Amino acid sequence: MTQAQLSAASLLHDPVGRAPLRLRPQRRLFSPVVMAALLVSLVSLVPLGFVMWVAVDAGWDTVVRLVFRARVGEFLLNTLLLELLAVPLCIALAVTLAWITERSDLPGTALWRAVAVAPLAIPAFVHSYGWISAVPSLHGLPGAVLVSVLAYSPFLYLPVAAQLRRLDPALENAAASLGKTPAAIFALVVLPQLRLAICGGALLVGLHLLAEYGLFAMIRFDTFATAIVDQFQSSYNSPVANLLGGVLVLCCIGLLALEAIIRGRERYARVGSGAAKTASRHRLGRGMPMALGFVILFAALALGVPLLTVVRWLWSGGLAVWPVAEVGTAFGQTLALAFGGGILAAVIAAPAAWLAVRAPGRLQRVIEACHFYVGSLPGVVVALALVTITVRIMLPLYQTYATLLIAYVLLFLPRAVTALRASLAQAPVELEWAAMALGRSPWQTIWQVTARLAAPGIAAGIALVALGITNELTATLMLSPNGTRTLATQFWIKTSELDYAAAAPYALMMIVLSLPLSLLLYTRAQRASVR
Amino acid sequence: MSFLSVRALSKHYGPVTALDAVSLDVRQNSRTAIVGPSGSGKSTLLRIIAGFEPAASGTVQLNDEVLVDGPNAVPAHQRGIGIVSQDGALFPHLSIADNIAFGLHRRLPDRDKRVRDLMALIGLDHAMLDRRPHQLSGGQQQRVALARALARQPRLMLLDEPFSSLDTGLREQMRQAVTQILGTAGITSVLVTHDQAEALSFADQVALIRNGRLVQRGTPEEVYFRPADRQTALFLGEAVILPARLNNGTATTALGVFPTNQRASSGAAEILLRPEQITLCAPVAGQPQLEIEHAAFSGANWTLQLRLIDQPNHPPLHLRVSGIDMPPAGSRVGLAINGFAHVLGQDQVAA
Repeated sequence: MTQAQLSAASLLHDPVGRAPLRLRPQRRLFSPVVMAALLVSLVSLVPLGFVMWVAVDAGWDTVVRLVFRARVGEFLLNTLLLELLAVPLCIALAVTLAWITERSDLPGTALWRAVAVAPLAIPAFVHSYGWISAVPSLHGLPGAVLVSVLAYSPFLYLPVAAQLRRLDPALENAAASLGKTPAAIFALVVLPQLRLAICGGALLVGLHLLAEYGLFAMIRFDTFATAIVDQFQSSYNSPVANLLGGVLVLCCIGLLALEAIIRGRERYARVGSGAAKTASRHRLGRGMPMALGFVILFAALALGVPLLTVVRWLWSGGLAVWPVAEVGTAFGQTLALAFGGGILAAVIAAPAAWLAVRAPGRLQRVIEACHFYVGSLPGVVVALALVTITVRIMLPLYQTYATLLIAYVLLFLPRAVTALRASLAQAPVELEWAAMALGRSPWQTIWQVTARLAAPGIAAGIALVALGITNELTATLMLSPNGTRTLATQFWIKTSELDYAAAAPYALMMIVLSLPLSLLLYTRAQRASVR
Repeated sequence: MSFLSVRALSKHYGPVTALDAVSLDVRQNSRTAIVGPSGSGKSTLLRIIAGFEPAASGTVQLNDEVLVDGPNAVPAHQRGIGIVSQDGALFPHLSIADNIAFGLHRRLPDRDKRVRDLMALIGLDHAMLDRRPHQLSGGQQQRVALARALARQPRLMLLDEPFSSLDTGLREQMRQAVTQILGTAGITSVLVTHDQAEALSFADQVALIRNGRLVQRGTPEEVYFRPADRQTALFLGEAVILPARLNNGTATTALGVFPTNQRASSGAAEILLRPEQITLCAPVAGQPQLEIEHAAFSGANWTLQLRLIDQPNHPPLHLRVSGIDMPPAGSRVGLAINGFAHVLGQDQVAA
C-alpha cells in the first residue's frame, strides 16, 4: 500500500490522536436482555397465578359448591363431545385436502391450496354468522362441530401439507419395492410421518375449540368460554366466572399433556444425508371427479357460505347499511390496535427470541416455555385475570388501551417469538462480529446489521399478531375501554341485536383486512417448506 | 519485544475448559498460525483476541495497550483488529462496494478511490463492485472479506479458517495471495486453522493448541521435525514412531541405530522419523532387512507395508515413499535414514 493510502488510513484509525482504550467489565450475572426476558416471563405467568389465586381465595367449599354442579358437568360434556368429534373430523378433512393438493394430479394446485388456507381469513364468528343466516335451524352440537371443522381446518392443513411436501419419496419407493399397495403405503409409511404435523395442528384446533366464544355463542352451543363471558357480562368479577376460568385452564393443560404424550419422542426426520427429491404425484384416474367434487364442496361450505351470506346481507341492506363514517372509524381503530399490538408484541418478544438464537440454555428454555404457554390460554382467562388485577390493584389501568394491548401481546406472544426467532437466524452472529470488528458499536450493529437482515421476518411476525388481533373478539369485548369500536365488537353488537344486515359491512371489512395478512402467512409457509 | 502478548488466558463454558492458561507472543509484522484439532479452543482464543467473547482470566495486550484483563475488556469495535472468518461473513444486504466501505468513515474524502484501490489489491475487477455477495464465488467472497478488513488498516489481522470452505486447488492459491497481500500491507496476522499443511506453509511461527492448552510453539521447521510429543508429531504429518534405547546420542531401534538430536538423554524412549527422512536402498549385510508385503500406488507416492525379516513379531511398518522404480512386492530392501531421529517427550495433554 502506498504512503498516501497509509496517511489516509490514519484519518480513521489514528494510533496517536486516538483516545486511550478503556477496559469495561464484560461479564454480568444477568444481562439486560435476560432481565427483560425474565420480566416478560413473569408477566406471562400472571394469568396462571390468577387462576391459582382464585381457587385458593374462594376456598375449597366454594369451589365444590360452584364447580361440582350439573350445569358445569354439562359444559364439560359439551366440551368433551366437541373435541372428540371436531378434532378427528378436522384431521380427516385436512389430510384429505393436503393429499389432494400435494400428492394427486388434480389440476389447479395453486388454486386449491389457496382455497384450503382461505378460511383462515374469515373470523370464526363470521363463519358462524354465515351458517346461521343460511340455515337458521342450525344449533347445538352438530352446528358447532360443522362450523368449527370448516373454520379451523387450515390450522391442520398448513402443517400437514408442508410435511407432505417435505416427505422423502425414496421411503415410499422402498415400500413399493417391498410389495406394498398404494393404500398400504399411505397407512404404513406416509401417515406415520405426518404424526408430528397432525399432533401440532390438532393441538391448535383443540385449544381454539376450548377458547372460542363468538362461534359457539352465535350457534347456541354452551361451552366454558360462552358461560364465562355470560357470567362476566351479568356481573363482572364474579367468583363463578373466575372458577369456570380455572376449570377451562385445567382443560387446556390436559390437552397440552395429551398432545405431548401422543407426540412422543420418536424420530421421524429423514435418516441419511443428501437432498430429498420431490415426490411424484399419484394419478387420480377415475377418482378425479370425486377429488374435484370434494374440493369444490369444501370451497362451497367453508368459503361460499360465509362469503355469500355477507354479500346477500350487503345486497339486501343496500347502501343504507353502509354507515361509512362508523365503519371507517371501526376499521381505523382495528388497524391501529392490530398493528400497535403487533409492533408491541415484536418488541416484547425480542429478548426471548434473541436468547433462543444467541444464548440457548436451561434458563432460556424456561423463559421460552413461559412465552409459549400463555398463548395457549383462552382469551377469556387472560381477560378475566387482567380485569381482576386492574380492578383490585391497578385501578387506573382498568378498561384502558394499555390493558387491552397487554392482553393482545400475551395471547399472541408465541406467534411473535416464533417469527422473530426464525428471522434472527437470518442474521448469523458472525455478521455481527464482522460489523463490530469494522468499528460499529453493539447498538449500531444491532440496528444496521441484525435488524436490517431480520426485518422481513419481524414484519411477518407483526402481521401474524395483527391478523390475530383483527379477528379477536372475546378479550376485546371484556377489556376494551368505553367507546372502543373495532370491527369485531361492532359486528358482535349488530348480530346480538339480530341486525344481520348491519353487521355485514363489518364482516366484509374484517375479511378485507385479514386476506392480505393470511396471504402473507401462506406464502411464507410455502417458502419455508420449499427450502 | 512482542506486539501481541497473550498471558495465562483461560475460558470455560460451564464445566468445559475451552482455554487453560494459554500464553502466546506475536512479533510485529510476523505471521503466526494457531493450529489444532477441532474443539481444541483455537477459535475461542481468536474470538477473545478480537473481543467477541469475554475471558475468565488472563490478559491480552496489543502494542502495550491492555485489551483484556480478566473479565474486563475493551469492546471489539474499539480495538482496531481486523478479522476474516471462515465463510467471509459478507453482509448479504450490501453490495461489494458497500461491504468494503463498511468500516470506512462516511465522510472520508477519498472513500470511493480507496475501495477501488482495495479491489485492485485483492485482484478483483471493478465491475464486481455493484454485485451482491451471493453473486461471487467462495474465493472471491474471501478476497472481499479481506479487503473489507484491510480498509481500516487494522493493527492486527485475524484469519479464522478463511480457506477451509474453498476447494483444494483454490485454497492453495488463496493462501499464497493472502500471504502476499498481508506482507505487502505489512500487517501482523494470526491464522487459526485445523489444517497442519496450511499452518506450516503460512506462518513464520506455529502455535499448537490441544484441549485448550498451548502444547508447543516455534518455527514451522521446529514443530514439524522436533514436535514436543507423540500426538503433536502425528497431528503435524505422517510419522514413523519407533521405540528406542537411547545412549550417548544414538537411538537403537528395530530399524537400526540412528543419531539423535538429544545427546544428554539415555534409557527407553520413542523416536520420530518423518517419511521424508527415509529412503529405500538395496539390502545391506548387518543392517535390518525388510520385505515389501504390499505396495499401493497413489500417483506421487507409494504406500508400502514392510515386514522386518529378522523380527517376525514386530508390527508391520507403513511408509509413504516417492520413487519411479519401485521394487515389486516380495522384494527385500534396506532403509537409509537422513538427518537426526527426534526423541519424543511424554504426551503433555491427553486427547
